[in-house]
Amino acid sequence: MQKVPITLASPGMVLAKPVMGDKGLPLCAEGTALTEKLIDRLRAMNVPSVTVRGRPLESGAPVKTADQRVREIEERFARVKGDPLMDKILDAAVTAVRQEEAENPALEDGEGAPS
Amino acid sequence: MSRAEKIKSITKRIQGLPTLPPVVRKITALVESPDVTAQEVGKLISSDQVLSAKVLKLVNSPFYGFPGRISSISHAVILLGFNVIKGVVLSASVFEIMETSMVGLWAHSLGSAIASGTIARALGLSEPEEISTAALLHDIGKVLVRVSLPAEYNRIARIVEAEGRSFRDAETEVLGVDHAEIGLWLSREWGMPERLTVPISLHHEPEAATKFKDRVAVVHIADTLIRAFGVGSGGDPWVGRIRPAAWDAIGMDRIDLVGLMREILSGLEEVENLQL
Repeated sequence: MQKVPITLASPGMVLAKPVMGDKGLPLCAEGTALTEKLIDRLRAMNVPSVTVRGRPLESGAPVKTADQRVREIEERFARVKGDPLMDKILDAAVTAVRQEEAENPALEDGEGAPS
Repeated sequence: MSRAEKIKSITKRIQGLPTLPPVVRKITALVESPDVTAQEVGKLISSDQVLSAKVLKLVNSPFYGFPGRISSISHAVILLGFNVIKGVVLSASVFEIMETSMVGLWAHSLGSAIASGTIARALGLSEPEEISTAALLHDIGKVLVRVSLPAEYNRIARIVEAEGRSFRDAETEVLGVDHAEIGLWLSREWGMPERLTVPISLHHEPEAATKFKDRVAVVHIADTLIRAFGVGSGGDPWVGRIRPAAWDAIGMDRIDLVGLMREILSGLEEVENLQL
């Protein structure tokens, strides 16, 4: 999933989240494939950006796997390990990352980041 | 030297207090007057196009959680209320400094604001937008040190780097006070209301709060939670300890923690590239 400024949106990208309009009503449903015409219309309505599936834009930053993200989270908690409340928070953070990754893989199969 | 004397001696050395643009000072003064209308405040903000654009960007960012887009300043003033608008206007100005020289702190502040708003809404606390604003400004003291005492700031950063100590620990060694105390001084100097100055000054010591306890606890917790995901930098990379008393005081155990974390993650995704 990636948030893309409307100026960089291109036909073929698929919405991962609905586009919301002024009154909080959805303009385009999740799963819609963008077309030239649709992008023009969204731009005319001043929609600043859209959230699309996958990571179609190269951001320059390496895409991390869930394992890498979890390892980094654990490292940041190194100094509060053993504190019951902080251990509970660490667990929740790790579970949240795992769940998010399972539903919206940042990487397609076989597209592993260099480790 | 007492703490009060230390603060005084530091603030004396601060030559150029980051100045607020005149329009910002006018706005903060205007919202204090009891019979001001939303139209008047909106008109004044609209007179500065750059500021207007920043205010609209900020109010449309996910931490205020309005489903539709807010396209006019007067609509923003009515929806958010004077206190939030004042915070937004101040943030917009302060963060100009952060955006250029303290990118990590800007991201950390935005992340803390998202986490605070998410927690406040999950707990059903009143005025979640104001709590977000307090979180956005909670490290304002660090900005002042960076801008006005650059030599000291560099010494603090070197201590963190070389000795692996926490940023706050290093600040106390170099300055004798920490960014929370400096933040309190600056926010009073700028005429911020207590609902913002109290969380700024006590975000590391929530148990000391006698007023606005809920807000202080939320900002304290959000500041720590957001570090879990490595968003930006509050000066050092480590997650600190949340005070259990603050956790219990607002009943954090009522919230589904995994769900909260997921909401924070998706809020972060949306502001990934937010610049004012």
